Amino acid sequence: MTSIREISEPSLQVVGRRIPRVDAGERVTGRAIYCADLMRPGMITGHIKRSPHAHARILAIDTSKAAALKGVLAVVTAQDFPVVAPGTIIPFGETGADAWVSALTVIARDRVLWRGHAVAAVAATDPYIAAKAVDLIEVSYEVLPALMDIETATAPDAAVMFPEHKPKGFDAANPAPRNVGGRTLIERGDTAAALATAAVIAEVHTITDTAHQGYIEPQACVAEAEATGFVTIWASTQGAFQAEIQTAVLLGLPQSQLKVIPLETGGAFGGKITVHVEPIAARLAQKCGRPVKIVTSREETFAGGSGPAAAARIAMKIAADATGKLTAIDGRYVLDSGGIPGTPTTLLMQASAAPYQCANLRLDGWEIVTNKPRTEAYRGPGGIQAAFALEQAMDEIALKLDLDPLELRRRNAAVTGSMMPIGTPFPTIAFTAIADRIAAHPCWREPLAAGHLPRGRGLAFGYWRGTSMTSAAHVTIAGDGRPMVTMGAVDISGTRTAMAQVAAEEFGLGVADVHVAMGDTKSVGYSDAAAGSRVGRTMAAAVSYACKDALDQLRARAAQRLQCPLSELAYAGGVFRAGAATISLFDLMRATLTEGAIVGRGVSTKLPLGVETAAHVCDVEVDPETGQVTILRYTAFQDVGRALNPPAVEGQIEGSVSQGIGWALTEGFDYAADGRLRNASMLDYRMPTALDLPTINCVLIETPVPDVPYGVRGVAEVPIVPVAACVGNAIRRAIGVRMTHMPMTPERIVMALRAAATEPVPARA
Amino acid sequence: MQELHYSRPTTVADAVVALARPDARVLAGGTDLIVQVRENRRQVAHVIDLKRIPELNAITRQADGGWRIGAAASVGRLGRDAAFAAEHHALLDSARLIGSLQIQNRASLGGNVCNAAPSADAVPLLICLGARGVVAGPGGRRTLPIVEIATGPGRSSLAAAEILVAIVVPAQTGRWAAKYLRFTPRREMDIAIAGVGVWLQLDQQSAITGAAITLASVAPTPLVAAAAQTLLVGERLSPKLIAAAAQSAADEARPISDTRGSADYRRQLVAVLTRRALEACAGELGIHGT
Ligand SMILES: Cc1cc2nc3c(=O)[nH]c(=O)nc-3n(C[C@H](O)[C@H](O)[C@H](O)COP(=O)(O)OP(=O)(O)OC[C@H]3O[C@@H](n4cnc5c(N)ncnc54)[C@H](O)[C@@H]3O)c2cc1C
Repeated sequence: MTSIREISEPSLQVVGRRIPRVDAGERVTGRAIYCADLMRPGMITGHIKRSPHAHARILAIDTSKAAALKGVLAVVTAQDFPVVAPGTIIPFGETGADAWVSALTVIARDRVLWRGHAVAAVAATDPYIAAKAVDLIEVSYEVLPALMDIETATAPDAAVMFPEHKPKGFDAANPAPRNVGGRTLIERGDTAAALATAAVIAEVHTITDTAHQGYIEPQACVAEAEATGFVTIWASTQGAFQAEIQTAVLLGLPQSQLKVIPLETGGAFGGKITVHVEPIAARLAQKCGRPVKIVTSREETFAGGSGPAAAARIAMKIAADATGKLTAIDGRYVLDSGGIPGTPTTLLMQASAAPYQCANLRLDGWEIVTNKPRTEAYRGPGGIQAAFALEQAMDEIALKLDLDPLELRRRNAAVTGSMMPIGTPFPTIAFTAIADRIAAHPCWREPLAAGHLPRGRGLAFGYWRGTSMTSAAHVTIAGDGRPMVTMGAVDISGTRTAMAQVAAEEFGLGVADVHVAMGDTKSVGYSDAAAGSRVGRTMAAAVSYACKDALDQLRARAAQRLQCPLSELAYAGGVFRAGAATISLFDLMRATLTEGAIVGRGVSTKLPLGVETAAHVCDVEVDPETGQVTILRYTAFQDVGRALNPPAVEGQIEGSVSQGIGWALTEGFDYAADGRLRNASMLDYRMPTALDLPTINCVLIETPVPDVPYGVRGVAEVPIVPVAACVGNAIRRAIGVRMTHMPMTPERIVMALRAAATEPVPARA
Repeated sequence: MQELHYSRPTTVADAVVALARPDARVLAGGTDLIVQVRENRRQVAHVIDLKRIPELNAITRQADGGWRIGAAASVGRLGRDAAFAAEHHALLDSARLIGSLQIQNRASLGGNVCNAAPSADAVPLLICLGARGVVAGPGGRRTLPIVEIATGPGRSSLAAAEILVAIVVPAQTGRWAAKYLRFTPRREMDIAIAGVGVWLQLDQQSAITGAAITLASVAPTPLVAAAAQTLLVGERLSPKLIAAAAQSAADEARPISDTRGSADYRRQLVAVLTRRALEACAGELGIHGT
């Protein structure tokens, strides 16, 4: 995959250089340890009993036959866990989280909310006995009507899933329809008036099917309980501390009695922040006194054992004057939260309006509960759905005004200091710089060559806010003078490599001279999860602070050794120097190791926001008879602040685009009316293969974030945002039909073409 | 713990005896069977591996010009037989749609036929080419047309203790060409939403003397589009004739709607793929302007 990097920073020695991942060898040789690989003495297997109904009341659970089976050492149901009431807010992310959601996600208590919802679990001496025991658990249900989509769930006579839930955004005068989880309204200016006087209006109504993050490694963990009551969990998680607090609350255990050790993560993409198996394995381990491993199957992961990404319906109406200047953005967003209310809508709403300056906004976001698995985050959660609506509407404006789509976007692009949808000014934002790069790039300048089949070129912008929160790291200095970094965040994306670069840069050493490890929740300071494009940037800051702190401590010792005032001491490349006298880190530590440890402390909290911006260009070819789309060329432009390790950044972009193309063209859950997932396999849930994907060209633009060490920006979420819209716009240009249902499968394209052929020809092409 | 007995006979006779046990199942490449057992879709107590029986692995050209393909010979080996590959590139191309190179180095044509999936990619052209199966059982040997083996999804006309020993592809005479096309939303590692195998034979004046069309994934078994075949024989290839045959094949299809595709869409694909396969054969036979 090719890449062009536009700017380099000559003063940096290690940061910004192309470094192979420090863990590459063990990953590709299979030596890296994932939860499924872990063996503990006396370890047994846990297995989960799941609901065969999408919506039902649990009348009784009889576990006696399972418990009596030889080899079964423990059985649990919701009765083995404390009741966690709604509103049990735990410190978590930017706003805290309701532990009631985690509790209900992990195991059903009085009713099941989706097919595959856990109702009980066993631990047995081998997997066959465990599977048999699960079959012996008898659950009697009173089956309730399954609400499988937004229409059914909000119908006036729909069964109400959470009668006790009071959705936000409604009052007595304005009561909520059935099964609404909540509503958020963002308004500015007078959208109705702007629409009434607009020169041109584009309206696009999109549907996005539920999709899965598609991580290779399913949910998995090992739990072990000591006689003292102390519990250790080896987890596949995005956040060890987040797994710890959820599990502690769900078990009713003090956090100090629980340690979470993050192992290698085989993909997560937002789906491994909420716990699914950890509290169950821990309770089973506590009950039988043996370590318990749970590894879910692919089918379990797809069908109820994990949280996929939210389906959405968006009605997007945008207005412009005759020059293409946007005058109104009017969006109505309905997210399908799955079985538990609480899916945030605001990030999606912001992503659908933020790229452009527009005086009049009306963004109206709803979330609805249905009997599907509770949805969780997926890479810039809501961003791809938002852009699929906004950016196709922008393309319609360009078509109606016969304007170049890049020029239209450039005229309206948000700039540093212009207003965010939520009313605060944007920090440095690079859409204009990105537009300039596109205009000069062959992927836009070169005309698209005609082919045997219809071809089209698409463009879409993408925005993602990202987040900062808090990250902690500490560095000690080994007896040989080498810095040893321990970080509080999980490495799901090459973080160890990037942090090794940061530490090496700070100490003036090579990457091979520093060591970076992931800590566990009892060996390192609290850090938020690897999510929201935050870890690289905030951990780089923490590591940088920790290294500076350690260097200050070392400097004092070196000055004493060299008998010079601190002000005369210089440091470079692992050597302290005062005039002609020098001492290396190695010699300094040899001489002073027993005088006390050097411990450098680094904590970064609420760093300035580094918004993520991107624009993608692609060429497609469409076979109108079969509906097959071939992506001929794909170029992703992105402001990355500063690429700590360019291949890692390109990997994030390539991975995002691959996932985006999958969702754009073939990935979507197909639920039957009774709640059964009809495509719960890698065969029928069609993630793209290498043959389905083009070469993904990356153009990295570096606009450092002010007041952030190294100016690092989040890079890992925005590259999925524009993908489906970019492909959709290219398809529209190829075949003249606007595809509004994602995934845009071959069959949907064929049917849309058929429908268009029987429609009266519109006045304007 | 579920017990599984595994045996590896070296003669057809021993295999037939072993297969007489209850819940016994033969294994060739295992690329269908092992997946089905792991997903609890098939109960198996005895697995009888056929790969050590020489006759089931032999690939031989017969005196009359036909080919005898051992039922357990892998697609990979078949492709490495240069003479077979030169003569039957269309059949080989259809078999090479199966999975990936790794899968093809295990998967056999016999397994593709006996697994009896309506989507089996190598079966339509075997049927079009008039291939027959040599079957051995407790009562001795018999042969039957390949088209008679599958009776429904996963069900075959072979008796419980019968095995397919070989597939015999008869000698092809005259000017002929064949082509199998399938449609999958993903370019590999996918299952046909519809597939069409076509075989055409022409005389020196380019009149059609033989035509065969077999459809995949649009009926409980591979389906012979008999009316479309009849339309073609005795005629000369033209865009109009090809369109008529394609429409006929689409009308003859009996697809269901499921998560992989609607019946309506599958019918359209049959028409498109039939036309394209006929055009490809015409091109190969040097007939242009179709
Ligand atoms: C990843 C993957 C991708 C695949 N892609 C495709 C594809 O694109 N197209 C396609 O058509 N198939 C595909 N398959 C299915 C499979 O590979 C083929 O059907 C293959 O031809 C089966 O051959 P085998 O030798 O592995 O059969 P096996 O699995 O050994 O046997 C299949 C069945 O036939 C029976 N059987 C086998 N040999 C005999 C015999 N001689 N006599 C009697 N019964 C017998 C077995 O008992 C079993 O029930 C795929 C499979 C996998 C795992």
